[in-house]
Amino acid sequence: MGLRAGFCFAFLGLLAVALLARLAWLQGFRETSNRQAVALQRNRHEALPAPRGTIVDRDLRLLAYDRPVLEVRAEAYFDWREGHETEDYHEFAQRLAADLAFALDADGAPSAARSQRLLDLRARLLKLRDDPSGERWLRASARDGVPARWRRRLDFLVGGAIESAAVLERLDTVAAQRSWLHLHRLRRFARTYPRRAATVGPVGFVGQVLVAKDRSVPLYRGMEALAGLLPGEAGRQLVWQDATANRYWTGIAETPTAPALLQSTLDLELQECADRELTKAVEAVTERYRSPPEWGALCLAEVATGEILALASWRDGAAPEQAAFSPIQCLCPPGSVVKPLVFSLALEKGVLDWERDEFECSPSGQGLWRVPGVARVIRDSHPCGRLGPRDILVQSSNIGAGQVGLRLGREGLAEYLDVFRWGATTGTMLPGELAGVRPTDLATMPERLFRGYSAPSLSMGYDYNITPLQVLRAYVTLLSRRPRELTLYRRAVAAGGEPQSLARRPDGEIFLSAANLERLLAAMRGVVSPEVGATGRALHAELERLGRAGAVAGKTGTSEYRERRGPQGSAQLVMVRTASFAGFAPADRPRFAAVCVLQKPGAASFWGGRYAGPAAGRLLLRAVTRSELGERRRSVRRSLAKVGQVRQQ
Amino acid sequence: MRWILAGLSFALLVGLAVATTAIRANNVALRGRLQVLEQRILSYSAESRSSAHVLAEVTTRPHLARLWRRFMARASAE
Repeated sequence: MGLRAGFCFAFLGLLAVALLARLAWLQGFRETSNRQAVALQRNRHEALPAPRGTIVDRDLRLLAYDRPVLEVRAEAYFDWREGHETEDYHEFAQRLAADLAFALDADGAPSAARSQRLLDLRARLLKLRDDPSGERWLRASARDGVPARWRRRLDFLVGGAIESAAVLERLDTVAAQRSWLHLHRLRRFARTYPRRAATVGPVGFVGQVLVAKDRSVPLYRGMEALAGLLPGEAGRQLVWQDATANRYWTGIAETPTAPALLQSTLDLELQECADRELTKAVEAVTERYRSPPEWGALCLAEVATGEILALASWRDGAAPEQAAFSPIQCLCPPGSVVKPLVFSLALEKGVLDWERDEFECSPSGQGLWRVPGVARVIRDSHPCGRLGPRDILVQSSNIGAGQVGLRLGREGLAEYLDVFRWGATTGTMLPGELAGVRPTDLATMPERLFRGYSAPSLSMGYDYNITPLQVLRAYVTLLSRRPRELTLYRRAVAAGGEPQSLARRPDGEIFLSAANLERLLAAMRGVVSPEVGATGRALHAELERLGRAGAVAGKTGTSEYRERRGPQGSAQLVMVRTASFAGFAPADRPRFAAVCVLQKPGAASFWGGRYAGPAAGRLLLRAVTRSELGERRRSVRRSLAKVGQVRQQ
Repeated sequence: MRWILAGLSFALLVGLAVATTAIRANNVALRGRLQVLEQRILSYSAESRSSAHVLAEVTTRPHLARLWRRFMARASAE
């Protein structure tokens, strides 16, 4: 019994000694490497970023969304001999950068991008050498003339947005061949803009702007600037990491908030069409004048709702991301496109008799008219003779429009400015939209100034600078007979799925009778006709060529002003001309309104009917065709559903 | 008898220890496989979203029209 007990105690004693020896080994001799292993072996929460909101068009086609990509970071351990850190590190960095760059090349990028990638990786690694924050520890002390060995942990970015499975597989192979290299994949998002070229203006972008040498701040343009699109709450995932830095999926995760959704009123197909038509208009100007216009804008909206369907912008010599978005950021005097709008107020106020009134539009026989009582002279581009209100619009007589403006008086013109909301931003909520300028002192200005300058100028589209989108809003207001705000949004769902309300300015009171609107529509149909003196003959010819004569109506406009341009000291006066067209379709029952504006300095005979009209006309035709096709499709679907119901019965 | 019981208990303990270690090792191996699987899913999901985007871009009407014009221009030049 005693012997057996002795054996037991001896066994336990040996066990205790063995344990102590093991402890001494682990805590003493292997202390450094064990601490490193413990540092690696831990549970950690990895952030799962939430995506930014998605923007879709009216038919839910994607305009901007976050695409998942992978960021690959490397965790590498660099060993060096004491006293040889620089040369050892240089060789290490060269080799590692070359291996990783070779793996990244599996995405088939052009050779220039590959070389740049290699240089970037090498630079990133070399920068780490001097980073004092890096962890380092002694691996083996110096002995018998052998220098001490050190180890250092390096953490660096391999690729920011990798989405090629081949690249990831190659990277895995590189890591598998090196016990001191571990690659970690982190979920990230890349902002994606399908059909970018046509939508860059209204949709905008998320970018960075450099404010200091090493500091940049986010830059938002277009719809992307709306705060509702910001990502929701990020999620997190529990990741277990073992002593060899392998990460393991635990399945325990808090999912990030679902992205917000913004449904815009844009129609992607019409937006592309607008972009194309505007480019064609620019090409036509370039062909005629040997240089392009300074800027151009083409906008389309639905009359019944005020929903904007397309917003195209063109700017000379600037990348779309850097240029001003001309529909809301370029100002111009609207020119003659405002004449039907002025006439609508004159008709409604009873100062204009559509059937009986006649105006002498060429009193001197040369297209000149001296405003009574003042020294101002108003010109027409061609002598018009005696015209009724309809023909003033058809032939776009400034002299006739000026006389109508004088009849409207101060109150009438002030009401005109208010009804059509000139000088106020539209309902797009886009950043950087300009309000423009309009006269605010009509009631108090001296009579001589009002009669001689403001009244005739306002009636023919001068004395105020507005954006092309404001012209579109004015036409939507005219065609719907009540002040109607434009909108760019249909529906919004906040991050996480909560529906959001989109405040919209309610329609105003009806200000125009149906009969008076019909008179104005008839006159604008005359503008786009083969009539002698009609300013929209070029558009009519284009419509005839397309077999759709009479489908589009509207009003042309051409304005000009002198501006001092050039470097300070040697600036010269330049005549800046704006060609515009505001139209609608179908011509007898307007459903869509469009405005095209092109501005070009120093261009003679730069007429709205010739250069802006065809682009707006073709866009309107496309909108009508598309809407008719949609209606036909819906009607076929309804019929099929009815047939199905009958069969079921 | 007591020694038999002690021996059996010891054998049971050793067996349990071996089984536990085996199960843990198996777990580690399975986690490793899951890890690889998850990485692959992530890679392919990123690649499929990217391919969908590229495909949508190269099959748009304007892009196809541009290609067609280029093709026709080359054909007429030849």
